[in-house]
Amino acid sequence: MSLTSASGLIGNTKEYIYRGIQQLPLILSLTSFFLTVTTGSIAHATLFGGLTVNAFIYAANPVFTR
Amino acid sequence: MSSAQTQALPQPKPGVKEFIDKVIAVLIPIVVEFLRLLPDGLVFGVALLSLLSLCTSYGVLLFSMFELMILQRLFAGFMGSIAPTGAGQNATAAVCQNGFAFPNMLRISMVDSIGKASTFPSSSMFFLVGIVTYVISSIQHFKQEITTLGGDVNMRTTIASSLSVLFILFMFIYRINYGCDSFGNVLLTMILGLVAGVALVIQNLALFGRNGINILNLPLLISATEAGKPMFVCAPTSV
Repeated sequence: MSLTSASGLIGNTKEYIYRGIQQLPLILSLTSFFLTVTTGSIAHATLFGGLTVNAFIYAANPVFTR
Repeated sequence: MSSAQTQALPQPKPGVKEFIDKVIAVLIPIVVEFLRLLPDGLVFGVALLSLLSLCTSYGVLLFSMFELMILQRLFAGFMGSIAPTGAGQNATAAVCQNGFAFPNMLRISMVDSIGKASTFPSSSMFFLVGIVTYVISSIQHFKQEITTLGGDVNMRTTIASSLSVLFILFMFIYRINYGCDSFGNVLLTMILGLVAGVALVIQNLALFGRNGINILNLPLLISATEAGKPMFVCAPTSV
């Protein structure tokens, strides 16, 4: 692997983690949604309920999504 | 006659209609963003969960996610060399693009970077169907544990399967409705994803054992006689 592609990989991973952490409320909400749907677990369902409220406040507010 | 009937119908108050329109205007972009983010967000979410909990099964699930992306790339490369087709008429639209978007229109998607976008099989549908199948079929290996712990396996399986089918159907309609993929592409992708999900469970069961696919983190039941250990039973007291 050349140095250019290695630095590109590291740069992309860094950007991926950066953006992922910026959108963490949505990420956590959709992960719990997925686990609710696939496992039928009530624990995940309540977690999804709580996180969805948080995610909607986050997504509806342009201050966080800029 | 018809005009009189129209007049007789109760009309919604302007305030209520405006409110409903406003709610829909807020909800639809969030739901679309949610669905667009789903495959990549899932990778990030499971990576975060496995890192925080140091749980083997989540780590194995993450490993399987990468395997699914590589499988999709292999299928897409093979199919692309035979007949490069599969993308919908609106595949380049923002609603069809997976991954994290930046304000300057830069987009980072692991599913589309490791996998291959806008071709057969559809990267996001293959990934989602594969992972849903993986989780559902891995739960099937823990029927005895769920029953012993007092859970109703049949009810749980029915609920999980019904919700998963509804979810996949919703994604199917979303991808077709926005013109992200063609109908045949999504349909065949779902079948391929189903096979890939089941195959990954069998592979992980062989590689990591039952603990590797224990998504629900249930305590495993091991028969003492199978393990070669003596089994003690409380005897009734004579007193």
